[in-house]
Amino acid sequence: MIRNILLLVGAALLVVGFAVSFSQWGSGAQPWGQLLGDNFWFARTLPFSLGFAVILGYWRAANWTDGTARRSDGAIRRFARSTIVLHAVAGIALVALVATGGWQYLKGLLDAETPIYMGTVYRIHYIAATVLIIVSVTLATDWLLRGENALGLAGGQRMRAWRGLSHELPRPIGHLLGYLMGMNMQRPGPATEQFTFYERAVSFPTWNLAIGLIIITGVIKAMRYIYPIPGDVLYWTSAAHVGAGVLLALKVLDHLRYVLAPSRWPLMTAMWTGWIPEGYVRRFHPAWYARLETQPTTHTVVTPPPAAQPIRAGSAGGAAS
Amino acid sequence: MRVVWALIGILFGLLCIYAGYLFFTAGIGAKLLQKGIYLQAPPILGGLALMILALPLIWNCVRLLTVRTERY
Repeated sequence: MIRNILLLVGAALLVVGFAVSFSQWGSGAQPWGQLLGDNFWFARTLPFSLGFAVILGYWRAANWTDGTARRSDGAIRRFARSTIVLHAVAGIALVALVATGGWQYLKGLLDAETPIYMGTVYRIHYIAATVLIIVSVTLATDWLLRGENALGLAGGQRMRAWRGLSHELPRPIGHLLGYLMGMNMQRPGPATEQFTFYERAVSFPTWNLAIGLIIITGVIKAMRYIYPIPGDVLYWTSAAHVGAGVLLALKVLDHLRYVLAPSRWPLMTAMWTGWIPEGYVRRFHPAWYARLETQPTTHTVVTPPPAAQPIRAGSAGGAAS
Repeated sequence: MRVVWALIGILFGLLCIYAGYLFFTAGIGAKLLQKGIYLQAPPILGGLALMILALPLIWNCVRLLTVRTERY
């Protein structure tokens, strides 16, 4: 009950914060154009966005149900419904941010006239940034409160993760990594958990770095008209913001490459449906499967599965990159 | 759904190659040539990286459309 009231209070404060900022923006009291007005709107609503995201994360953690659901056909729930929604929203915001940020950067580099009014490009950028901040802080709060670390590496598991990663990567790259790390590649790799070693050791940490960097530098840049920021700091912050933007664009490319591989298509469909076939888990995520088999099933969903879709697979296993 | 995502991936990959080309040519252009290596390096390296990383994505999407099916 209290958690629902808190969520309502957070949502109400968010709406009030947005409305007050919007009314000031539209009052004409300040001689700001659209671009500067939008910048102020974004900077002023940030505390409300952050506060709402923390409450939403708390609400999600408090309502979380432990355990893994199984469907009557054996399929295993890999992602919760709210995770699917948050991932989709973050993905759309991220693509909008990369597109609008790249547009701004290219316009400056090429010194070209743009067919789209730049104020509109920046407006989309600020709205997408607000959405990404809310989703990121919500997930971070939720995971911290629940101690969720399936995508991370627990302490003392780093060498195990490198070993697993070197076995997952294509043979030449994996063996080179193993050689550089001084590993005996004759030893079999550790069994894959819920997420592959590539996702845990490379992909997720890079996402954290890039999203964390782009949010911090973006907030500093947006605050420059409200709070005086030294020119040197602003210069390097802007450079880091652009660098993080390029890193995010590369990360989107790499993420799509990873999940659009034929052998990993079930992982992609799991991101939309939440369910992953039991046979796929047994074959490519044996450690997770073994753990699920020893745990009592929390509940079985008896609704009929969606129409079976043919799954295309290549020669590489699910864990190959 | 698989075909839609494969086409989205191919389009996104081609767009990234074009954006990477624009970054690269801007980086070696006359305007940035005057501004030094620190301002030249990001668009040159970023553009090259965009073009190179787009290739495996396009390859995977083509394979997604063409390889044999397997059921689990």
